[in-house]
Amino acid sequence: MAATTADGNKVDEAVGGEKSKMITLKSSDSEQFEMTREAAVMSQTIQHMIEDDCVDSGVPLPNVGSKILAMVIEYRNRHVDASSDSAGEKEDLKSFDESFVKVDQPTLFDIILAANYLDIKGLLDLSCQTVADMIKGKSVEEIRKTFNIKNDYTPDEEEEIPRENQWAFE
Amino acid sequence: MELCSVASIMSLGSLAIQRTHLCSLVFRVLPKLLGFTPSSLKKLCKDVDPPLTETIVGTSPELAQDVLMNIFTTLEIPDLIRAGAVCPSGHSAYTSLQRLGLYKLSQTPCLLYTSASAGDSSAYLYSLSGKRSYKLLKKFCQTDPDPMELCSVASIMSLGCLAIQRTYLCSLVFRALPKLLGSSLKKFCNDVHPALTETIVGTLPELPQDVLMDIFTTLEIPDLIRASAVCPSWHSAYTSLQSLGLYKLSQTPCLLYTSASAGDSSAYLYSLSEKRSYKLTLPDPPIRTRCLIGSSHGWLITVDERSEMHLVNPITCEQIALPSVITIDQVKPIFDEYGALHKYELSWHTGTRAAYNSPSIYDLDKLRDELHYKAFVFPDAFTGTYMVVLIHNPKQQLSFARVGDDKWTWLPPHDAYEDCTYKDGLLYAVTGFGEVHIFYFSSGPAVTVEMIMQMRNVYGCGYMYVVQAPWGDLLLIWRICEDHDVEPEPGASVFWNTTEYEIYKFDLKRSKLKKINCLHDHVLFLGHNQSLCLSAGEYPSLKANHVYFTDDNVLWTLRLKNNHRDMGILNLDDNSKEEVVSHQLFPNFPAPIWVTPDLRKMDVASRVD
Repeated sequence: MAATTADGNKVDEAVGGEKSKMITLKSSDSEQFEMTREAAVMSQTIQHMIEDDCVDSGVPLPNVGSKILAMVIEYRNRHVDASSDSAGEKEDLKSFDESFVKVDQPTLFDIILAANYLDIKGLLDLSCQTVADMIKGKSVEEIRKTFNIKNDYTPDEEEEIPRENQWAFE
Repeated sequence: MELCSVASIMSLGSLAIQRTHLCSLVFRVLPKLLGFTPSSLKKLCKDVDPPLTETIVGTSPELAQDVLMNIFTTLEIPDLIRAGAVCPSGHSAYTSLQRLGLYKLSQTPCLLYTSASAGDSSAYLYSLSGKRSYKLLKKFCQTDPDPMELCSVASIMSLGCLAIQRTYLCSLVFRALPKLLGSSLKKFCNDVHPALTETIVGTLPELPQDVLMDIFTTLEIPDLIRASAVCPSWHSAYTSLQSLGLYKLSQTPCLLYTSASAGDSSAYLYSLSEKRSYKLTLPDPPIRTRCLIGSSHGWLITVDERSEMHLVNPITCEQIALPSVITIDQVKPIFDEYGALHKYELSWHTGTRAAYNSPSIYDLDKLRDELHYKAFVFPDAFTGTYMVVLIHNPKQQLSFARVGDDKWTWLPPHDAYEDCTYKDGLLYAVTGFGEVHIFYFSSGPAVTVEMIMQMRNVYGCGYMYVVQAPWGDLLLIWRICEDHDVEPEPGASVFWNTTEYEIYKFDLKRSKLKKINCLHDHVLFLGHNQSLCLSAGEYPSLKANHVYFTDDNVLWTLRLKNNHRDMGILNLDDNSKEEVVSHQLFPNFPAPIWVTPDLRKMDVASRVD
């Protein structure tokens, strides 16, 4: 299409080289990561930034550290590549996902926060499900221990809580 | 030397103006000196010109308090503490500084770590400015908080930031450290360098509420309830979830049963996902005195000893009274000489024929043995409340009522109904003759009915079910049992055994009926509950292509003692059966029923008194 605008260059870009264009992401500790635009738009947050045209000098991600950003990029690249519907591919992807979330808890939580911030549904669902699986079947104390959560209820508050649904705590 | 000359010249008041400059001199020099312990500081001073020794430490002229304070404001905390221990006036300057909150606000962050060899209550502080570690002792006063809390606080930000806000946290640190110095100074300055590869103690980053809610939406109700009790922020996510109605709607059905030994108000919920039972206490009238005639959408439909019906949610203990049984077309109340209700009269007419017998009289608790067959609860698309459909005798006719109505509405002319299901304002009901009827409800009282299909009933014994499959077709299911005595002698021990299910799918749009042999990745729940067809993918604990069934025989309501439980899990591949629970958890009577737990609470005007 030969639409002419004041920014003639930008139109060309949009039409022609979308997929092959590389996007630079900058982590909170100032490391730079390159990825294809196609993979980058798996993140709704980044996609909006691209649409709003703020990405010429790279996308700053002040909430995501380099270690986590590297993992997130690995996840997205893997999922973008796997576009075929073959059963074998699906199996591979499934085992990739399973090992992807076999990390220590602080890292798992960081992944959740990053996926939430970057709005990557697949990764958010995967990591949240992992945490949910860690909650299942555990007593309240066991949950606290697993996630190292401090019981900051006052004794009065603590009494109130289980009264509603006493049966589940037996 | 510079230091000494400064100290010997000044008296504070007169040199106030120049204090800054002079003090800055001191600032630059003193920290170097204070890297030493006080004893070596004294030694250093002695090495200098003896007369000058006196002017610096311990003897007159002393540096005035606010000069000392100015000097101290540039010190890093470990240095500051040591300075505060040098002599009484130093200490007094230090305490004034602390009280006024004027110590160095820009403290260099330290690295906090722990070491297994040091014990569980110890931590180390590695100072970047001093390039050395300090071991924080565990001997704190009882009024102080847990030392580990102290440490995790310190590791988060530089102490200076804390100081600016004068938060509780800051005062923690400053209250604690001087106490450390109350013991011997040497111990405090214990020079140890454990490996820095030890894990840093800290808590996990807190997850925001919407992420917690995302995690919780996948939990089964017992897990969800336990998660809500972990800490206040998790509880808050749970209450948001509940008020928005967003918790996992596809809860795995549980088996509800009662046991005489547990008391009349208790019921048990056996969870298929956790493979364990929970004991519930239900509101009055006691559950064991009631008949269970249905279970849908988390509600049990019960009939009490006055033959009156209620909805009760076993999880939330909400209870809703339904319109009185005397508003059913066939039922009339009989009052005694005092005007109190004391019996019911049941008329045997149906929609298609007048009564073939004269009316019968029943005691209040006996009417339910005859009248009530099966009931269902559906969310009413039009009014936003619940609708209850009752299959009742004579001849298994239909009546319905919405929650809040004051009477039941009879739906003649047809009868012989076995099961029904509801979707988008349409009620689909099947009869024992293989007919499928659709009832069109509106927001008003008018209801129209139409027969859309009749299939040949080839099965002599058995029961029919209807359920809407997730993919849109209507499923018609025949439950086939071995031959048994339909009219047993009183006291006879009867048993019936389901041997297979015949399943047909009916495409509503194209009116095509087809027998199917396999449910693929779906699961059926059949019994006295509302029939369910679930997608196995959403329920990891359920087996695809299986039918989970419980007793559902008309003779069941007559309370015949059944020695044998006709319930289990049937594999549609080969019609093999297995037990729902591997060991006998419950008595044979009353029969267990499937219930889908639901946490929703209703705001309804009509509640039981």
